[in-house]
Amino acid sequence: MGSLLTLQFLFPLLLAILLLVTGYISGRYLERKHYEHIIAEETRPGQVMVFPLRLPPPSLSPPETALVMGSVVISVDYFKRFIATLRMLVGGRLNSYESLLDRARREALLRMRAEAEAMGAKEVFNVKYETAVISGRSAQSQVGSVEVLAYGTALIGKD
Amino acid sequence: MGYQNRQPPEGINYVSNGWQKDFVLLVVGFFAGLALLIWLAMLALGWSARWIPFSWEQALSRPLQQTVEPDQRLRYLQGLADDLARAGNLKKPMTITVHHQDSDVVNAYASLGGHVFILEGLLDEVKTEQGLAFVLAHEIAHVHHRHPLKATIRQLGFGVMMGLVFGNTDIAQLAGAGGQIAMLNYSRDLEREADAWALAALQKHYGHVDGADALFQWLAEEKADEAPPQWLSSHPDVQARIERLRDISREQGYSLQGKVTPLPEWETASSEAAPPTDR
Repeated sequence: MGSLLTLQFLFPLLLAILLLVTGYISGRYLERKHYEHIIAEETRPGQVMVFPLRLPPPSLSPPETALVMGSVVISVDYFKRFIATLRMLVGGRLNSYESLLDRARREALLRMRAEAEAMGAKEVFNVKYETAVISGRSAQSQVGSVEVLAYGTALIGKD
Repeated sequence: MGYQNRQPPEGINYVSNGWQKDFVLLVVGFFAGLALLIWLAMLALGWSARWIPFSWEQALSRPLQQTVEPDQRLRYLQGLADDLARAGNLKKPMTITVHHQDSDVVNAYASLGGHVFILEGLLDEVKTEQGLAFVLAHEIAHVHHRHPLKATIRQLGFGVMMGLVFGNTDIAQLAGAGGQIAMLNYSRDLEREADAWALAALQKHYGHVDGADALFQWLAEEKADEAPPQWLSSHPDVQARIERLRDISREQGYSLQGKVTPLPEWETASSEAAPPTDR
């Protein structure tokens, strides 16, 4: 009976603590790595330039345009959700979700630039973002996933 | 050409190391606050038990009311319980109803409405009337101090609070498990309170407290390696309870030496057929 009692009380507690510790360590490590990667890519010389302008200046008018896009699907993890749940009780910035979405947006833009670069473009105009929740909207669902899509018009030169 | 993309500054759309700070602040701060709140609520709820009349408890526990014809053994247990209740000055409108359960688990418990359950296993292992009387008095003490009611109110209140604060989330489970462990602390306090009352009742009834710790001695010998660590247990550590009984006896001047009578033999069909409890 003693061991049963121990298991009954300790199991959920130990499981949660294990998940939280794993989440904290891996989340910290992966986020740092990811930001290092994003910043290195963004500042790499010769990157395709992106502009939110709807139309390119006439001087740049190219012979060919193409739709380019970059998409990222991210999922909230147990740990980030745990912090967010606590945060929602007291209010304030949901830091754990903010950094996640920031990384997703920047990663999506980088992927769009990579696509444009592969197609031989030097600039992308009319860049827009879309965000769609693709799972986790119902209360029962355990984790939520979000797609961040960046798209624009690549100007492909003819040289 | 004059166009260029500048690298935007960091830390505007997100707080750098934000969630790490959140984690430490929120987890520590929030759970400390919650623990304080629950502690206060539990105190208030336990305290409020005194305003609930005993008749409500009896009404709630009506389904426990016995219909079987009491046999010799039950009459003996009921008689002993009534003697002890009188010796311990059980609060006035309260009554004790003893039940016997055919289970070889060595245990006894008190429920709402003054219903005390003695399990067959206990009668097999405790050989003396004083040993049994202490367990019985201990359960009567739970009734006297309204412990079953307090525990029920606390459990209900705790459940409602968890539901209100967290709803159906992981944190509710986590806090629930933590709360249960904290609840065990209350439980241990109640056990100590009951031990003291029971010892006083025994001294009053027999004129000594010799043999009162018979069950604890048995537990210490037979079940020592099965016991969970104290913080996970609803009862205090057995060895500590034995020592505490001795301390109380010394402080209150209870006599530690006296005549110990063996349990009487009773004729019941079930006691003959009871399985061996040699575990």
